Amino acid sequence: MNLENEFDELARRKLKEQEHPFEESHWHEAQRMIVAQRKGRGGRMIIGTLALLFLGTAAWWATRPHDASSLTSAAEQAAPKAIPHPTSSGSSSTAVSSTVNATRSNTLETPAKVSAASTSSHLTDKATTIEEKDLTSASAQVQRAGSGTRAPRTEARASTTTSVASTTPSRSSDQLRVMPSNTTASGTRTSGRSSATDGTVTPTADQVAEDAYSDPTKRSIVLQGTTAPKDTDRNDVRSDQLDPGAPEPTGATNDHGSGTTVSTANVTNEDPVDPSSTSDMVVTGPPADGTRPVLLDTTAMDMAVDTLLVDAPLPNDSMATTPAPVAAPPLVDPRAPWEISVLGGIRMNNTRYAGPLSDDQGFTSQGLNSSMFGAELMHLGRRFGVGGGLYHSSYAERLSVKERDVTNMTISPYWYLMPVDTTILFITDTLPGTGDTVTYVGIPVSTTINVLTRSADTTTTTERLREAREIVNRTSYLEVAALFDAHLVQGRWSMGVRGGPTFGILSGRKGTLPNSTNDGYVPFEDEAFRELVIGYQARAYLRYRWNAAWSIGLEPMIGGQLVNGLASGDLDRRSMAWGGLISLSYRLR
Amino acid sequence: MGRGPFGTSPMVNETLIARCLREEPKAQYELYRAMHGQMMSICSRYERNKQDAVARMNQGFLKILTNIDKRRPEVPFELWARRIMINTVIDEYRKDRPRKAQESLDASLDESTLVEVNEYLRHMEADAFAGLLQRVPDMSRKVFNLFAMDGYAHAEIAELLGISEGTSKWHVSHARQVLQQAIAQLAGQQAVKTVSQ
Repeated sequence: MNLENEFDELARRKLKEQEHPFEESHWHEAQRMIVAQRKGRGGRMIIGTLALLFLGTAAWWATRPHDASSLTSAAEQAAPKAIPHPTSSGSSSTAVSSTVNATRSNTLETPAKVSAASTSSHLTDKATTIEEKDLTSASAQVQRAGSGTRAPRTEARASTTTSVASTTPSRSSDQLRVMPSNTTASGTRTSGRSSATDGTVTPTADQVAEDAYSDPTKRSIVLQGTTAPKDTDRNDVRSDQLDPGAPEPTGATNDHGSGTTVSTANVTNEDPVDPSSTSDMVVTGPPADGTRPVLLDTTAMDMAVDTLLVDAPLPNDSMATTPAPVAAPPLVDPRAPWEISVLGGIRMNNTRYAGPLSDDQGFTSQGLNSSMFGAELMHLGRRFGVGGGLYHSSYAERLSVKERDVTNMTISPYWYLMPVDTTILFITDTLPGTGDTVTYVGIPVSTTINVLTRSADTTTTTERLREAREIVNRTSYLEVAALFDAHLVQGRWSMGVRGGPTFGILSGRKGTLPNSTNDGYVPFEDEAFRELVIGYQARAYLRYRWNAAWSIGLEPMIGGQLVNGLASGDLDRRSMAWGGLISLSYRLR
Repeated sequence: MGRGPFGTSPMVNETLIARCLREEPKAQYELYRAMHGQMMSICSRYERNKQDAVARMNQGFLKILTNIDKRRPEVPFELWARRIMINTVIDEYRKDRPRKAQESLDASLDESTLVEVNEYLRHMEADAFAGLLQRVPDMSRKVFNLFAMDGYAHAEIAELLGISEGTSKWHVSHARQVLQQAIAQLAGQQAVKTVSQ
């Protein structure tokens, strides 16, 4: 045991004594590896950033309130400037806005908005006989609450009183945003334009009314005034009552307001508000595309706000019917789910070699760029889709094969004569002695004799088995893929993921591999390859659709082989690739 | 600052390490140059030939550079780097696990011969011994290196290489015998040649 420990200690000491002088070539090789690693790190960072960006956008997309946005956009389409700017008071004031609050002055900037106010004005003009009694309660209340703070402006517009407000006697529980208003000191509900006050050129009330009610898309009503007692019939108030030529509706609103009550249709009145409160609101009519209208508050910022969101559409006709909300037509016809795409791009490859022989092969593999192109046919639903694809994919790598040397130590035994100096006694005479004894007489002779000896020669030879070589290997496959798709669509943009298993049929190969005996090379043509290789493909995509048929996309992808591409069994060769594709898609109709 | 316990150049200091952390190419070169001897010494012990040793050394050096920011300051750099180099070699072994060793043990030498072997080794050239080490089969050489040169216990080796402790002991013993027999053979030839002159 001690001898073994001593041996180990001596061995350790010996190896420490060994010196390894620095060689620049070693550093060059290390430097190349450092640079390659840095490049790879950069690529990974780009991919990571893109993935994060993609995921972030997807998360935002998935969590944003689609309904609200569609409502807003619909309202914006119908009356793009319906929402007044609270700070732009006075400059283009209307009767309504100035009466209630100067900050509502922009409410009627657009014809659609003007229409409502003008309608009110028109109605007022026509309804000079309107019973003021219906307004009195509200007026009185307003007077009580009004305190006359806005008296000068109100007075200037007091002549255009409408009873529109009386049609909104209550909080529309879930339809209207009703604001208690500190309206008019005059006690009259003032409506209509008073363009004279600001010089704004506006359509006449008749024109606007006609415009507003002949074209529902332009309908915008300013409702103002006090709330009235609960009236269960108010839901039935019809907008055709606004038409001066229309017959007076019966049983609608006359009992609580003027005969010129303007219906905002579907204003629910089950929950009346305090009669002392006034309401003020702008209802934008249904836009042309049929999306639901939005009631927009034009109440000034300094007013108490009690909001109830509009949730039901206004009728398109004069009847207080409730048309079902119609979504904006999608860009892509859902009845045409089939889409064909062509795509192509560049991929970075990574081919790994492993297996029983790989540890002795002495080569490294470095990925190269290769191309991929193909076509797909997908059946796409609202969120998901299935389909198939056919691609031509190449995998390329650069093999750096080191030279291979073998050192042989040959021990050759041999025999030789080894001269040995010695002394030989030569007997020269024999002398008889007493009895049986004999005396020999000799001469010592010094001589050299050769002794046959066995030994061994050790011969060390280094033989180069294989020269170093840089090889570019390339294999091509015709890949058939079963694809599954999940996507989100927002307007013209869509994003999604697509992928599935692939079945690659070997279509080409070019290159060389070190052979299994490590003493040369074998060309790809002589190497046994699998003809069918199972793999995978996964892509994320962002597409822009510029019309119902065509779209273009950018698609980062990753793909590879799940099984050994070689069939010999000595080596395991698996390729994978990542890169970017550009796709052009056509929706079949 | 003298030479480190593993023959490290005194040029490896915290300043150089800090520059390497900033990925300065010149600092990386200086570190490589300073560590070359130690790294190559380790790798050449474990690998069969010089090319493989250089490849493994560079691989390990890359790991050193990549993980240099993770080194705890209280750990001497040389020890840390040595550990990384050994781990690199072992990791590579794990990836490409060689075929089961088929070598058979030769008859062990008697005690008197072992004394002669040790005596011969004492005066042997370092390079010659390194050459003899390459004659030891791969697996046995690795285990012998870990045990006798780098001070790993059999339990640690067994865990590192995924073998049993008994197998580890066998490999050490086998490597030792191969080396001893080779040295004995060399010693015998030397004796014969001396006689013949």
